Amino acid sequence: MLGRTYNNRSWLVFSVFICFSAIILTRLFSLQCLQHSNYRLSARNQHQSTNYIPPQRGGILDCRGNILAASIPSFSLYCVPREIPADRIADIATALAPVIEVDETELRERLTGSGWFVWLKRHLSATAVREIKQLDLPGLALKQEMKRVYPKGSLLSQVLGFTDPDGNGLEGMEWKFDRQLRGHPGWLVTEKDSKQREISWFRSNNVAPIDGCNLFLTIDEVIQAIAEEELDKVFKEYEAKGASLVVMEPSTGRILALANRPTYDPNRYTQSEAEERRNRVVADQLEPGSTFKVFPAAAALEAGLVASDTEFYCEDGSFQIGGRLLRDSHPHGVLRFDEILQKSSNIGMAKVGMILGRGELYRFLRNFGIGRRTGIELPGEASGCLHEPRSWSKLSLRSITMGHEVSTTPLGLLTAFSALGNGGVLLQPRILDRIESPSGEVIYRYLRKEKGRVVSEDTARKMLEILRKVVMAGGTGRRAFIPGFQVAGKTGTAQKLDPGGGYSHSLYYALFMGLFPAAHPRVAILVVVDEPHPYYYGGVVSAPVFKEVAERIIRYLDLEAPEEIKRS
Amino acid sequence: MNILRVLKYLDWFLLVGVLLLSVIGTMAVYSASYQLSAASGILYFKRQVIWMVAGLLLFLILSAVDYRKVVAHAYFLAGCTTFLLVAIVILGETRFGARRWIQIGGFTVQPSEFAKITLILMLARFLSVKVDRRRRWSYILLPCLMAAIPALLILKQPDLGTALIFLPVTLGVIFVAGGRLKYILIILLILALLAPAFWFFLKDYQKTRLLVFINPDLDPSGAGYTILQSKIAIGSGGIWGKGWLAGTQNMLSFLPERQTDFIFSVVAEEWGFAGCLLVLAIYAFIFLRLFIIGWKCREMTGKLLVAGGILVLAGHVGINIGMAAGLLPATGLPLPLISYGGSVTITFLIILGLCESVYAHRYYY
Repeated sequence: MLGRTYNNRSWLVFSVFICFSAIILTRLFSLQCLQHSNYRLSARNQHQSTNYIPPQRGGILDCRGNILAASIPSFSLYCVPREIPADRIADIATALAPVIEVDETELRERLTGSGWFVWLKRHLSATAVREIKQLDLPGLALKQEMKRVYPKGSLLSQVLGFTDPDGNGLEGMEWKFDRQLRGHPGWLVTEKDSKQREISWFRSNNVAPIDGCNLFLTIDEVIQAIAEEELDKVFKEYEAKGASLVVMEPSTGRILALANRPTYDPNRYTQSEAEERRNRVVADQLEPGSTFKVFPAAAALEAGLVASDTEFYCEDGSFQIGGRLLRDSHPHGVLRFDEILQKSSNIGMAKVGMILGRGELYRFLRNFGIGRRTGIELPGEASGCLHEPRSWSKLSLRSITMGHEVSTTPLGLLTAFSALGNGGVLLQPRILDRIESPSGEVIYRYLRKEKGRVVSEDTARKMLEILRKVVMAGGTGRRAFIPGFQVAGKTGTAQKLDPGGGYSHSLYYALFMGLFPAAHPRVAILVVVDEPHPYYYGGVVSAPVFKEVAERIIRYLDLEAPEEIKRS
Repeated sequence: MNILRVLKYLDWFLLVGVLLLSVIGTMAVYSASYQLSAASGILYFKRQVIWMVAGLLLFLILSAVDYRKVVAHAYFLAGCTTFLLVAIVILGETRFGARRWIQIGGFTVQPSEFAKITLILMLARFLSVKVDRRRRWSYILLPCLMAAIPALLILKQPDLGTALIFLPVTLGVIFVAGGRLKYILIILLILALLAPAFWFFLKDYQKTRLLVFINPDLDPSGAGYTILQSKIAIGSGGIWGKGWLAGTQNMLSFLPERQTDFIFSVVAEEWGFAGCLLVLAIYAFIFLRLFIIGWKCREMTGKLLVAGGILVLAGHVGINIGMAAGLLPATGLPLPLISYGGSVTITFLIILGLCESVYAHRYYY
């Protein structure tokens, strides 16, 4: 009787066991079979870590292989706040602050907390590294990283740009060609235990990084240095707001130098201002003033409407046109076509424009690339502005012939001008010569790119002949004259637009653009000085800069004066 | 005592089941303690083998001893364990924030484990002797009181898991002994009603464990860590497992308490669902044999002793695996014959030895 109760009731217990077993089995089946992939992933995430091996960032070099930007190994300091004893934070901060030059209060803040990783200072100097090693403080560690350095300091800084401490290109070529420069990281899959210690015997799947490509610019470091030096002089001497200088090879469109003022040091870009980082040569749009007269003149010549000796009456310096009075800086009577350019007569040029007509002028200017981007491999290029003739006012035609109501970047201006030095064919300017793989294999080469003929070879040659007179006695650009060399150039003194409306009578751009030797142009140079004081004439401020730069380039390139001049 | 007679009537199936499980258990301990041994120099595996061998010897000796002679000393033995439990409260060693261990002749002993043996001995004795009073309240309340004394002492250590296992074991044995179902249900009802009040007696860490069980994402790196790691280990094992000594969660020390409370997760990770099925099948086989022993035994003491044994073992298996699989809150209970531990291993083998004795002596009475 008792045994039967026991047996019956234990059967009940047995059934309960069966039920519970079923529940457990279901659960295990669910975890191990149905949700297996999820848990396998969680497990892998815990114990497997993929360490990315950073690739070496490619360098930026000039056309002769001189290094302008490179990556070198450096040490950065970080801390593991949870491993720092709370009572030592103050000591550590006091000891460390002077070494790494970080504010002590801020340092203390970073050392406090329960985090695993906090940067204290990126890219330390060698002495700082040595001192930190000597201090031997708890919870601090050094990590080797690659630091971007610009060995030439501020040279070409607006073109080069810079990277952030993690090696991401932020501006300039560093930004524009970041993908090519950065390379591809390799990785190292390692197993880690619960205390984040690496277990070497589990190591697997190593993939080596692919280093970044090297950029070879068309820039010549020596010419660049000349440009920077001479530009710096004029920038300081005339207390200018800004200044730009571009040196271009007219026959290829290669930019040999590109300088801007004010400038900055990309090694210390955090201390720079936007004003200093802006690449004025491509980003700034300006009304080119008298330098622009070259283009309508070339157009009129090309159209066969004028010849060098065609005479124009220049109204003795004041001409009523479109209801407004147009003045020349010096009154002229009758001037030949070439003299109009030589003396930079506004009235004469307006008359040339009137002969040419709106449609033709517009067509030629478009062909010269005015109002369009040049397509250079630099970021942030502005297009400039050239309105269509139908929206021109009565005054537009004469304004445009003298370089107002139209804007271009300094680069666009020099590019258009260089077309005359290239026998009338417009080229795309280039600053990037080639991209090479780390092993030296050329991956991409930027070739000479023609954008079309603007004027005939004959017209181009004639224009250069005319423009040679600009730098001779009686011309506005006399100060750009180089004995023994045929320089063809044009000055410009452009009134800046007044923020209050209209044109300012005190703020000017002083410009000079020129190329030489006129017979077979090797070098074209544009000098733009923004708001020089007290002188502001392009012929006074910018032409001498051209001369200095040109003479130094002649010596550097060892250019020969043409035979006939030597003889005379 | 006739050895030949004992051998003749011994339940060889149970013995084989126990041996199989012991082998699996020591292998699991070897794997689970691999890194710990390397780090601490303590040879967990070697120790476990020694305990296992000692336990199996006790198993064999006990199966030859007449269990009724052991049960006859139930109250004395219970008194001894109670004395030890009291001694712990006074002078026990504190390890991992709890006083569970006591030094006896060079050995560190965990008396709360042995209290499980004396509990079922005590229950077998009381409930079989007073069987004529089984319709009364006292038939239920007195054993509950007997169980409550060691349980409360264990709760004081604190060891919630071990203390709680006393409840289903006691009520279960009373139930199969024939105690009035109505009374048992009333006691369960009262306990259920009082449950919220117990909340306030719990230590903070016990409270967080329960809260974390309800929502494991509450604190995945803190209190919820263990249960989450256990689930990851089990789930990542898949059907066939990662192989012995190749469980990443085990070998890379992600799994806490892996040689004791969470050893099942190690088995599940390294041997997969298939390994789990094997282990569960062996357990099921052992329980089936124990039930058969209970049914075949023709007198009440043996039946109740076996019932107690089944409930203690099954309680541990169920709670331990349920906990590892995230079905139950984490209340550290070992997995019989698999978890590492001297007192634990020996206790379970003694209980199984007593059950074997019931079978070997089934024709005595």
